[in-house]
Amino acid sequence: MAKGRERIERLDRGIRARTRDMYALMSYAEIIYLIGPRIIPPILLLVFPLIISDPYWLLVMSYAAFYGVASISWDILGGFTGLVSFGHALFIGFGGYSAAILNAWYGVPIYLSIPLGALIGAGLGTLVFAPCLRTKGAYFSLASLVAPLVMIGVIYASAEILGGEEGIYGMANPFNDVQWYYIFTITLLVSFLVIRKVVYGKFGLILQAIRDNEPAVKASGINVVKYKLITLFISGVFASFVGALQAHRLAFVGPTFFNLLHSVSIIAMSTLGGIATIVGPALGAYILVILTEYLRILQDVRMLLYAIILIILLIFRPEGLFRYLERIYNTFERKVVEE
Amino acid sequence: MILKIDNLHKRFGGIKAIDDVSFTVNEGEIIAVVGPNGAGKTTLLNLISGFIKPDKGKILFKGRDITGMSPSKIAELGIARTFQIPRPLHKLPTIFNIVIPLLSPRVKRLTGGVGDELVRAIDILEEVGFERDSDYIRKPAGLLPHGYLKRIELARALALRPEILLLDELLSGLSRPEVTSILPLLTRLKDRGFTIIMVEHRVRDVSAIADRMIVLNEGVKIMEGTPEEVMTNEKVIEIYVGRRGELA
Amino acid sequence: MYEALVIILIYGTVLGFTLALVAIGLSLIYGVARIINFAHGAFFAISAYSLYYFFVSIKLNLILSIFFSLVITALVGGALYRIALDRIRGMELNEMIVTLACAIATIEILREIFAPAPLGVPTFIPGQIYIGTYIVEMQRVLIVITSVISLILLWLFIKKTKYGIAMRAVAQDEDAAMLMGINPEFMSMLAMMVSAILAGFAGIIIAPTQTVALENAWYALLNGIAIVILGGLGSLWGSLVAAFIIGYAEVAVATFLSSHLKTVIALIAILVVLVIKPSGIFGKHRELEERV
Ligand SMILES: Nc1ncnc2c1ncn2[C@@H]1O[C@H](COP(=O)(O)OP(=O)(O)OP(=O)(O)O)[C@@H](O)[C@H]1O
Ligand SMILES: [Mg+2]
Repeated sequence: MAKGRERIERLDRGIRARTRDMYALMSYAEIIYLIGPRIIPPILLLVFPLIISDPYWLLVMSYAAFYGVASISWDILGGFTGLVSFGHALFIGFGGYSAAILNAWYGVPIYLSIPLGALIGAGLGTLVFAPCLRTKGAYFSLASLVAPLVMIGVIYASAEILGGEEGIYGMANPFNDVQWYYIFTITLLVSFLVIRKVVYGKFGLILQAIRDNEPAVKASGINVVKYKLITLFISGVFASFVGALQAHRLAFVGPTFFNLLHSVSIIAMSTLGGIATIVGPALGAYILVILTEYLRILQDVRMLLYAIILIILLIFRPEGLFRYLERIYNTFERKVVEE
Repeated sequence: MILKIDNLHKRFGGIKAIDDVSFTVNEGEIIAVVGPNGAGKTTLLNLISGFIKPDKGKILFKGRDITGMSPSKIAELGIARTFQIPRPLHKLPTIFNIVIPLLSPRVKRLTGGVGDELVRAIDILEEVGFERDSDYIRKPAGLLPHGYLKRIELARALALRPEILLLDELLSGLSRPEVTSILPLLTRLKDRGFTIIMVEHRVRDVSAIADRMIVLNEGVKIMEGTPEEVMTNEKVIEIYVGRRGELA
Repeated sequence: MYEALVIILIYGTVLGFTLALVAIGLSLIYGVARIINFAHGAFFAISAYSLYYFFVSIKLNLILSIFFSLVITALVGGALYRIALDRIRGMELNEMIVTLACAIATIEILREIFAPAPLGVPTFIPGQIYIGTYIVEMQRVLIVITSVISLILLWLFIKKTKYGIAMRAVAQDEDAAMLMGINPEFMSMLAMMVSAILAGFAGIIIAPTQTVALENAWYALLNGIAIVILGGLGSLWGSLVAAFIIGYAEVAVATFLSSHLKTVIALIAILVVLVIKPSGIFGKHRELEERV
């Protein structure tokens, strides 16, 4: 019996050829190939504290998750709907301040102050941006840059009410580092699943249509402004939620929550990871946060680094890291024996 | 009378794009609006469909004042339009271009939300001349040839199950065979009870199917009448002078 | 009360002229190249810091210092267009992000070169004049005079010179301009340089009345954006009028409430305009009623 010649084939070929929607898997290699990238990163994130218990790195990874959620929420606006926010920090700040005021002033318990803070923060942010939704996208971008800068001024001016530069402190912080790590990381995983569900359903289809060609969607009898408002609110809820978490974690909220640094970091992370991919922005968040922590010298020039990354990325490779990795991954090969 | 246009005015800077235009449309009619380049035909459709707001004048749809309503609201009420320069959702597959209007509140209300959008979308695409199993249905719409983009425009409007169809130069840029394949479709739509207002540049194409014609020139309504009356009218011939070929 | 009004009138006028220079630059580059330039505020900062370097650090004479500062600012503007924007023209989203990133990069570089703390520049001419019983520093009078001169020069440039006319042609219809043998790329770069010079000049003349600080870049940009939206994107006259509206309003807020709340005026102006008349007070239909 003559042995067949060996040849190399792309791992995804067979799976694609055999199935359209259902996965009829033929080997362990295929199973791992398919579900590996879907479950290994979450598992790694979940066991991270068991491997590395250094509180410093737990803190760093919590920060990455914080930015991960914010970047994913930016992506439904910027990537899927074409509303590019230059001031996503507005939601982080509104969420943080709302939770802080509820908890520190009105004694609302932490498990309510955070979700309520997220909803109020998202509502306030949506209210500010609502007037920009009827006009073309550039107006939204312009206003979104201005709004957080203005909020910083408002907070400085209202020292008696909002605490001014000193901010508000004394919020409940009942958790330790490991617990906070899990709170942030699970928030990220849940946000990812929820947002992916939203974006890849019928609702998401309409968002993509709006980004593609707004008049066509209007002519299709769909109220574009309503969809933009809802999306803005959804996006705001997630960003405000992590803002509220952060306020409790630090037991402090101040004008820095509205800093341009946050807004720009989010854009840089999303662009690096790949706009309109949902996973990409989170990936970008982990990479940039870990990178700037790892190379300590970069800490002080973070802004400059992010700016340069953005310029280079946008001029030369708009594809983003996620799509790039996806392409590489899809070319994994194996040997098969020809019959 | 399903639609009544009352003393409509619209200026763009110094240009009077629509200058005191009035007419009425009866249910189940095909009305052709003709006129040379820049006559204001597209502006008229934009005004009716709410994409731009008139400076003065009223638009009544089934007796209801729809002047100044948003485009999506007007579409929701039952006036669908096509665009002269096709505006597909370039990056989405053709079929999703039709799924979008099927997801609109109007269609949900009319169908009670039952049925699979994808299946219905394919039916509609077939109706406007796509082959049921052609690649074009799954390809991103931006990659399709011009003639098919025009069909997508028509399909999107039809998907809304409107009462009035506003067609902006649906036939221009189409080859002769394509035109001859779409004209019977329009008559079929008329027989099914649609009211159609079609804007055309060339009179000849529409004279065969139009019940009435309205002639615009430089924003002004020159005349209104049956295709025969219009095509023999002195003033109309004068406007089209030197372009007799288009009229004939 | 009366006193407050006079203060608003005087300081508002001075601020209005400075903001007009900033905003008209922003409007110009939008009008000609359809670029929304978030790096515009950076020009304001670059020239102010350059002035500090030439005039205070190495003690060059005033005229030369101003001249070199403007040259540097114009070159940065030209470089921004040539190196970054040229490659991504027409991709509005990328343009906006890249200009924002360039603004941040510039500001961070300035932070590294100069100390982050605010710096002081001496007044150009000493002395003061009296308007009634109110003392006004000569520097502020100088701001008004030089702004008026710059605006007239800009007007002459746009209306009378070959380049200005070509620029207007590009603004009106890029394709038609190209058929007439005008190079829109070059004109856009030139518009960027002129716009940088305008913002830079504002940064220079106002430097002695305040400190030279990095935050000023964002303050200039924020006001520029508000004015341009209020006046109508791309409308130079609109920007001029809107600059004074914002100028007076900000001085009024700073006088009666708090100087931290000045910026609120900018946001309110933007939101109110977008609700009431999105094309701005002088905007043309064209900008908003996209052709359908
Ligand atoms: N959004 C707009 N802004 C400014 N002017 C416009 C706008 N839309 C149309 N116009 C002008 O109004 C006039 C009428 O234009 P319209 O597009 O309605 O003509 P038309 O009859 O559809 O012509 P065509 O046969 O070329 O499609 C033209 O002079 C045009 O330049
Ligand atoms: Mg037309």
